Amino acid sequence: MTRNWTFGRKLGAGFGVMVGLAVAIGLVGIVALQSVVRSKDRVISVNANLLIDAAKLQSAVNKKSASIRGYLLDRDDRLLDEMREARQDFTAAAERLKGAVYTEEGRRQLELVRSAEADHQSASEGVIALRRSGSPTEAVARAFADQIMPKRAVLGKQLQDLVEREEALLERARLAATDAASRAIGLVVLLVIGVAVSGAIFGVSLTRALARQVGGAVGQVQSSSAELQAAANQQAVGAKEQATAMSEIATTVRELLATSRQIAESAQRVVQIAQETARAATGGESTVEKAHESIVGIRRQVDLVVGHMVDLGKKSQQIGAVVEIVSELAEQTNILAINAMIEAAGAGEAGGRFAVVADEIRKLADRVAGSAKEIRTLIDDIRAAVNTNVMATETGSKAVDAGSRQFGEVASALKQIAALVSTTTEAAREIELSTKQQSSAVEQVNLAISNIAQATRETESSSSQTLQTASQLADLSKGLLRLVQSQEALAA
Amino acid sequence: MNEKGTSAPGLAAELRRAFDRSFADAPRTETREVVEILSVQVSGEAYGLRLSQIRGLYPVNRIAPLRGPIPELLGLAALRSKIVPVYALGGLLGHPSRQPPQWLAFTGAGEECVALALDRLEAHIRVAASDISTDAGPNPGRPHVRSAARMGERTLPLVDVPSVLEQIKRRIGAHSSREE
Repeated sequence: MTRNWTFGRKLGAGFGVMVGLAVAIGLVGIVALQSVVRSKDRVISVNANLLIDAAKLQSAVNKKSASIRGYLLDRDDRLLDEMREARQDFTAAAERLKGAVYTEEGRRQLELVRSAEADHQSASEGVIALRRSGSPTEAVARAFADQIMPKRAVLGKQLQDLVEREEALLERARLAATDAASRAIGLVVLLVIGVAVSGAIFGVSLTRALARQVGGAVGQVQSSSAELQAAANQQAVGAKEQATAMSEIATTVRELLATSRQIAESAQRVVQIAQETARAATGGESTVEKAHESIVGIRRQVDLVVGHMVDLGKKSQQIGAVVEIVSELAEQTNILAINAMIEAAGAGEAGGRFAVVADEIRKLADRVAGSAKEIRTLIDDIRAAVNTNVMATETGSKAVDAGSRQFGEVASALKQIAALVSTTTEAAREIELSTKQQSSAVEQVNLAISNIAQATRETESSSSQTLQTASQLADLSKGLLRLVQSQEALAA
Repeated sequence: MNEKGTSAPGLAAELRRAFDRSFADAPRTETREVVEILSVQVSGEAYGLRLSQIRGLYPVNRIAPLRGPIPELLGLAALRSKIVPVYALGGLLGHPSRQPPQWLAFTGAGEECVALALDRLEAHIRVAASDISTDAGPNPGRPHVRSAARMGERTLPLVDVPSVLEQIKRRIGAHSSREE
């Protein structure tokens, strides 16, 4: 996750960590110092005071012993006062010790001291009373040696034990305080070492991260600047080509403008021609209507012709039947003539003239048969012609029907043409208007193209500036890279 | 207008004029010697029959089939109130016809009258006697043809009807002899 952190963030985090460690060191030092202070305070305020008070006890006992000894020697009451004063000091110190001693052993030791002091006091007062009574010095001296000196020795021993104990406690407390201070120092040293190591690690990692991130960024900047240079070059080349194209487009647009004007003029002429065409179509519509009526009449005539042709075919068939009869008659006549000639030939000389007549009849029959044959041929021709004519007439009738339908379609088409011509007129007017608008638009386009050409030139200039900026950016990135990477890395 | 360029009314008028002229003209007399010939077709072959050798020409109405002594006998027919045998001329001339005959040439005399069956009647022609060529001897390929008529480039073989009748008579006689 930290890979995505910004360099400032990492720097801030590192400084935060360092500050945190410093604060921790400070807190630990403060705590350690406080612990040391408490230890020393305890040594000073408790153990040292206890030792002092113990010494005071010892001093008060010494003072009291000296006062008692002096009184025993001099019988001076002031010494008794000094003894009582010393005893008060002893009591006060004992009371302080009682309140300050913090161990059972100490309190028992203190009680032993106080008990020994009370025993010593009691023995001392007995001896003092003895002295005051005027007892001899020797008795007093013996009493002193027998009663006071053992108590004094016990008291001295108890006091010495107390002082030694307190001294031992003081030494122990001092050593404990010294140990605490040493631990605190060690802890602080450890923390300082940790902070130093952390700082070194942080510095190295931060340096590496800086080198890596800034190096990567600089590499990207270099790559981007190279791409920017290439893009700027392309843009410059494109701008030049665009300028050339704009010039060509401007020329084309001017031609387009001239063409649009020509189209507008042509549209005007189209409107005029369309109006004339509409009038012609209207006239053509009435003409077609008349032609349609004529075709209907032709249709009726064609039907009549077909009827006549069919009648003619029937008559031709009848004629053919009659001609067949005539042909058969001619053939039979021919046979009769031949047989007559045969008979005439059998009749000898008398049949000669009869044979001539029979021959004439045969010839006539031959000619009749030939004529009948020709007539049959003619009739066949007539029937064929009639059939052809009927077929042609029927074809004509169909053609007339088709023509009639086509005339109807022509009339409908002429109506559509008239409507379309009207639409065409409107469209031509719209074209004229649109073309004028188009001319205006083309003029605007021409102006826009001039602006674009100007913008293209500016783009070309801007591309040069971009190229220069990209070069500067590349140099800057190299400089920045030198700042964050070593020469070896740069060389690598 | 017909193919010859003569109109039908003109043709009728021409026929009428020719008919009237035949009555108006003086009787013609043939100065040259002529031979009347009937041009016929038998089994697809053209032959001529002298009118002088037949007694009549008739269309075929009905031939009653009849088994006879020779295979060329087709049957019997009624001609001129006579029952006459009908023979196929094609078979007698050596090349039998496969189509039914259309004409019968009546010939013979007395009780020996026969009818010769012909396939088609072509025409009646008149040829000068000088145009008739006579053959010296019998031709094995064309029996009963003894002469021919020249008609321009064409030559029409003439059937000798008496020879045909003689062959029929001879074959019938031979058959009768075999039966006896």
